[in-house]
Amino acid sequence: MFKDNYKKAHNKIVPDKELFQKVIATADYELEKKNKSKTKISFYPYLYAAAAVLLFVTSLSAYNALKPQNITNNTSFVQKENDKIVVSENINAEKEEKVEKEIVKNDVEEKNKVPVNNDKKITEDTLEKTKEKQKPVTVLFNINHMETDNSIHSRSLPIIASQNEEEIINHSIYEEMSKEDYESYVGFSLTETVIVPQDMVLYPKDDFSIEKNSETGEIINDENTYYFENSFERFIMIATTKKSDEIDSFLNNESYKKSVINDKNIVITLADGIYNAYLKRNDVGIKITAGKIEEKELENTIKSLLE
Amino acid sequence: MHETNCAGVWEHTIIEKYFDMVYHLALSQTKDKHHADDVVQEVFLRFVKTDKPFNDEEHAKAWLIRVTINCSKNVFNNSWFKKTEPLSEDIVFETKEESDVYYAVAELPVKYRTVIHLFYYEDLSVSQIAEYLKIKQSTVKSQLHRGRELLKSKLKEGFSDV
Repeated sequence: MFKDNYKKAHNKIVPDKELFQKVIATADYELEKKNKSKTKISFYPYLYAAAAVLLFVTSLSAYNALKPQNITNNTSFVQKENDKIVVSENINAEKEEKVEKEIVKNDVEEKNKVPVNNDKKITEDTLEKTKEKQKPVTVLFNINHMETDNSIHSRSLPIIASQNEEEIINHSIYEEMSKEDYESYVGFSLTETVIVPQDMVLYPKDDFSIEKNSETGEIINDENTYYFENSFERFIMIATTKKSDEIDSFLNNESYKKSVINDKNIVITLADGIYNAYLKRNDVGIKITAGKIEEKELENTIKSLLE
Repeated sequence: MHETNCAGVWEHTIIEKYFDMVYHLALSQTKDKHHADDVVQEVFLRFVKTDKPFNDEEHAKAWLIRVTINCSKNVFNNSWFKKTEPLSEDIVFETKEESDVYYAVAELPVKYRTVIHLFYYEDLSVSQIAEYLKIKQSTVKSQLHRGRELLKSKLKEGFSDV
């Protein structure tokens, strides 16, 4: 009875029709607004994805433009034409410009320092003259130095290349410059770059079998031999204390010759204090740089590397 | 799970179906038609605006009951509400019993009024009320009991089923 009366009493109170219409109208408006905003939001992921792709492509382009030139990127300028090896003009102009700037900058700094060797001191004009004549280009290798305990250390190695083979061979830049001048010239600190005990050879990692134990796969060499691996192009640089003639015999090794076929071969030797780098292509060796480094400097460099 | 953005059809169905329920619950809470109107609009506005996914109609019903009670509380707490006196409304009832029962319930404290309304008007069970209001069943039972006792004393003549 209470329940019936309570229900009846409440049902007597009827909400206004306008209220219902108002609620429905508000709901429609809000739902429409909600659907619109949802449509807008659903568009954003595509926008973000497109922006991300664009950013990635831009970054990739920038990375490719700015990453240090490794040897394979620069071997393209070496071409065989009518049985004569020529080097095309596809030389990194940016590097050249950078080197030029470094020369000016460092030369000013060098003037303020105690001169190393006044006879060998190269003025800005001389450097410009040398540059115009030889047009050298510094190629920076990114090399991961792998210790015998398999620990990896990253180092950079600058190599000078030029358009003319004869100029390259005669480009004994160390004969004209002090170490400091050379460093200013190439724009890198030598102690951070050329790090070889005596002689070193670069060859593809896949042809490393000559230095490996066939059973265990372990690298066999004397304790003064170090291995450098180019992380990008899979080069191995071996720095040994072998003499020049040993290096020569090593270069004539069948396994080494095999590696030459890969068309990605760099030989860097350092014998009698002369630092030479050769680019091997189709069994033809091109001397691309030469530099003189004091034995003691080398030792110190190696020591700092191995520390 | 129900998709609330299904062109608004589902929302319309819910509004039409539970409009009266929300209105009468709001009225029982606020005891004022105009406040009830405001609460109803606020509740359904929240309903269409919410991003809460509803499992089914029953879920939506429970949500509406809870939000109606909360919105009504907001009306009580509103400073404007505290300063105003509701206008006497001329509600015409058919019988004196209906009128007595309505006003007796209206005079109950809000916590008893809520469970009495849901139990007698909405025909909800004790367990459903407990679930919707998120309180224990024993609490619902005790509130129902105390509400009934208060009603008995108010109505005097007594309703055997109270």
